[in-house]
Amino acid sequence: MSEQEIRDALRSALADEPPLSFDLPALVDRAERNARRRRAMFGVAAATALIAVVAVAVPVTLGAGRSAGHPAVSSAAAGGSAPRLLTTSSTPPVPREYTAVELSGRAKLLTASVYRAVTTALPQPEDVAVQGWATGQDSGAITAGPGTLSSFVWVSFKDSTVLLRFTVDAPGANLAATPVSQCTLDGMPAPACTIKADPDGSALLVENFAEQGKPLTEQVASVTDYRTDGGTVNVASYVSYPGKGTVLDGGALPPVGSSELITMAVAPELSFGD
Amino acid sequence: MRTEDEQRFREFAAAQAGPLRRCAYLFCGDWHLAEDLMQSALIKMYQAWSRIEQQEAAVNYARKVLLRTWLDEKRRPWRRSEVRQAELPDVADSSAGPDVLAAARSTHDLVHRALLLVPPRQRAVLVLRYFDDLSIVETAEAMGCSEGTVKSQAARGLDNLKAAIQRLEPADPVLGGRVAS
Repeated sequence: MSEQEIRDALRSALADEPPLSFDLPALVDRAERNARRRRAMFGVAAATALIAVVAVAVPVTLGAGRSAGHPAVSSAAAGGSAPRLLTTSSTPPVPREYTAVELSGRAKLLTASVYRAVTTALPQPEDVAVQGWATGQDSGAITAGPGTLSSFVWVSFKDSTVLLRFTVDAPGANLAATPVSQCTLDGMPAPACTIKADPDGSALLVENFAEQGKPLTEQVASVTDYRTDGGTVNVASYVSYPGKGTVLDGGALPPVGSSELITMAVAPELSFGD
Repeated sequence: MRTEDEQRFREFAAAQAGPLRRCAYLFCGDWHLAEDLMQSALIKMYQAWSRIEQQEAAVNYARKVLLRTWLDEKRRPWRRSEVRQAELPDVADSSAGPDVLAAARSTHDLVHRALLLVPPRQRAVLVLRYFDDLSIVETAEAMGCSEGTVKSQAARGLDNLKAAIQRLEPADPVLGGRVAS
């Protein structure tokens, strides 16, 4: 297939294009509303940050004599972790390309790590089945590319079953998503979404749909651990499965909530090991 | 936003809405999601409009914003679980006969389905390089990666696209008959 044939094929893929139902004035109104909200939110965030800085700086200043022998403590306190959540890192990790062989090797190691993380975090599972790892969303296979691997894991309990999805990103491979961008919809905070910052600069993004009264369509919760090395680990739980029905059709809810997902997401052995 | 800036944005949005939606459709394979992505990208463009001076820069920036918006969308866990199973909608086209339409439809359906099997970043490179006709430098800028990465992703994307087409062809009875004849 030549490059010209690819071009022609991509253009022919658009042959069924529906008419554009595009309301420009409505879009501009929506953008202007969002811009106003952003400005208002930015004002609130700036005031909050100022208060936080003062709250940290005053005790540090007053206690300078005591902490003089512990520069690491004082620098960590002064640096704080909130700015990491408001902006992207000034020196983001450089993503690298992995060969299919490298990724397959890491996938094997991750299978064992995932098994340990699941059996440690969840109460007495009767069966844990880690599926094959994949690099693409739809391909179901490992191909060369940025360091992202994901796998589904079936966990069976006495009365219920849960499907977990693990996605492990190498440092720099998940630059497109930050905790703030993941927790934002149309410039506004997304519902059922919280960010927990750790003093070491890492952050946890927790999305819990069940707690917010949102209809349980397929997913209970999702936790993403943004690590200090730039890698991320996402663990999401699902309660309905294509072709296998849903536990909401009368089955018991699996004993997997946000706290269990957090325990699995922060497991140190779940990483690319770079 | 000043009145003249807003007018400039309106003209830009009216001109670029279609091309951005087409690009988004090739990224995601769903016209409804493509329209959402296009509108989200334009809203983000509106917020950055005062910092964009040249029309050409605006077009390139819009493409970059669209790509990031799509990748962000794919990162959302509730999107990850989606599995494409639905058929593309039928839209009547009076400009060609049924046989020509059937052949054309099977061809672009095949390419379209194959494209959706290519990993997202490779798919993005293919769309930017071969649909938007961006240079390697422009593609690297839009993707936020090096030129070498663009070259390697394009090569792998092409390989994967060809492999996907070959995988899909035998399963397509319409196309199978057409190729055999």
